[in-house]
Amino acid sequence: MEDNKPKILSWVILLAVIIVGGFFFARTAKAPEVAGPISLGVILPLTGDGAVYGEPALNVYQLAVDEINKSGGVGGRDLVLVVEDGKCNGKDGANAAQKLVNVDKVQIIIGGICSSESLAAVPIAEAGKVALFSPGASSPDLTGRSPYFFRDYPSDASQGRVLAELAYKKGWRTVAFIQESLDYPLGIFKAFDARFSELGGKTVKEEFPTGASDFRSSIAKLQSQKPDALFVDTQAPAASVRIAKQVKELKWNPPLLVADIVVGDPKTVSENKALFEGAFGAEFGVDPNNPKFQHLLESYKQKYNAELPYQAYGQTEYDALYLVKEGIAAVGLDGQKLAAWSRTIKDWDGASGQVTIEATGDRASGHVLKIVKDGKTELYTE
Amino acid sequence: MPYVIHLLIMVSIYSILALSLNLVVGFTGLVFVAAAAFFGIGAYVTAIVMTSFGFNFFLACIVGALFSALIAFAIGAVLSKFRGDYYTLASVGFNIIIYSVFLNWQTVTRGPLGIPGIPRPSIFGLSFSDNFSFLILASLLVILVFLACRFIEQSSFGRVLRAIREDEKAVSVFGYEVLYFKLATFVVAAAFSAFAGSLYASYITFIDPSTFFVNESIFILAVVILGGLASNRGAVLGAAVLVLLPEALRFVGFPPDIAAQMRQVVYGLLLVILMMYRPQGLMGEYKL
Repeated sequence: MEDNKPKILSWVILLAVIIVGGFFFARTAKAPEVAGPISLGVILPLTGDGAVYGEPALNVYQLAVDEINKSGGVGGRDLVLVVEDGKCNGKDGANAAQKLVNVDKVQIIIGGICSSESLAAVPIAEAGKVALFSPGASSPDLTGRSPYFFRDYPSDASQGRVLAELAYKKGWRTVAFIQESLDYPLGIFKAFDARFSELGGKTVKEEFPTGASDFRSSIAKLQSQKPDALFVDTQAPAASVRIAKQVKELKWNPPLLVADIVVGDPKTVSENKALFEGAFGAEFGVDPNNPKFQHLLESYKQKYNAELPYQAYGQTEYDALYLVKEGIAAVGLDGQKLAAWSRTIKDWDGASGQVTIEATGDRASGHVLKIVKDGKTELYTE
Repeated sequence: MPYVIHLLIMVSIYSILALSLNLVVGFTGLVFVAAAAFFGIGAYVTAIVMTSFGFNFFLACIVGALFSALIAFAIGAVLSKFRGDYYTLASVGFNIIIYSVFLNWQTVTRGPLGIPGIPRPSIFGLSFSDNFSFLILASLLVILVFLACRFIEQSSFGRVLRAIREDEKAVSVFGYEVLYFKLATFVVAAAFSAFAGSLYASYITFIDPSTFFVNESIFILAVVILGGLASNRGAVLGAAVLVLLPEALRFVGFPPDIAAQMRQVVYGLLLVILMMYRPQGLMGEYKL
């Protein structure tokens, strides 16, 4: 052990250097400035499995920042991104948020792309009075979680609401649900039920556990209540297919509503053409005719010489930067004011369509109605 | 300063994990790669009883530790059938099983959605909601676990453990039931790891299965080996280095488009260099 002492000492010194170095850099980090470039915090996954979403997201952010800076920035000040890797998990999301909030002293963070990063970052942003703006997190748990959080990517639950409105417009007053006992389908039901009862409709529901394969008694029970339509609400397409088959076998032909996992899956729809013909669903997709979206696609290709991947995310990421620009121009660089301002965003035209942020911090619209026709999913227009 | 406090809390959590894994790896010489499983069990049990049943944090902490110890008892009995490399592989398998349970037992764990909104600890009207008081709580737990580990190490029990590490057969010839010693250590280590899990869940306020995958176990094992096997101080030092190093690398000033990747590369490289020049770890007594 005696011989080791000098070595141990050297390691202690190394450690001290690391810590002191960290402190030093922490000290030199900028306090909020009134002139010079505006720092925007960014949390996204740049390493690990989530990097496939993070890399293109960073490209989109950089693209938007370059465009904004070229056109004069915000009030003459350029935007700069302070990027931190959140690795698509809670721990690294929290580390990144702590650093951005307390060292870089940013007033707004764009991120995370993953719900886990965002959920872990919310309490940190709230404690530091920093606005947290996610263009990718879709977990219903984030709805109304904090006055400092908002997102322009719709909650998974929003499709339930969109479909409830459609159902009411169709003149249906009783909608039967056959729902898998899991969070995601449950979230859709809750959102549907809340909106539908508000409008004056009524839902009846049968739940089934994951892995069930015989639904006939549930279907018969629902049928006996004479609903106007049937909502098949499952976690994965396979269960929806099984249910739809058994509904047909029982010679029942109600109008069908399905979750986005069915209408968003071309294979399921084409292989089960007869089963899902005329079924309604809601999906958060892209509008290829939107000029802003077209502009995003073209400039991305020009700048990075590649097609924009994950376009549904790309459009909200692009919009996020422009929204932040407008926010800072409107209320100044202040996390608290920006968070309050986010709730006033209404019918803002972006690459992802019209953006409205509700009091809960959620995007109001986003899911568009789809209908299955001839084994294909089409945009539904009334 | 809040950032430094945050990092110190993370160091505390990993110190507890490293201290408890050190009991298994350092003293009995079993390369166990499922520390994240007990970390996760502690975190999940705490999160579930706190959010669904309104348990107090400290009670939840104890429930988590008991639960973790119970599972460790069952698993330990099975794992003790394996030796050497097979033991390591079996422990990886166990970690994957626990991870799959977190991911798929959705009615209880909420699966990939994770559990948000886990409350911070409070007792007798005293709340640990700000990070500084949480740091004090976490440090206290580190000290408790540290003292417990030292006690085990210095007791006659600890001497037998060390003897097992050096020569298992010789110890059994002297009439010691090696299996019981290993199992007891394993159960204690699992309970300590669960404490770290409780702290983590309550601190981050959100957990999901991805945090408790095998790569986290490898990280904790790396902390123990880097700190030095069979050294409690080494475990704490190792946790400090491995948690702070990647954070310090955030400030090196790599160009932003490759910063995240460079951090990983430099981090890995530093670990390789450390192991090359100091294979027994920072404060270790012997090599793996």
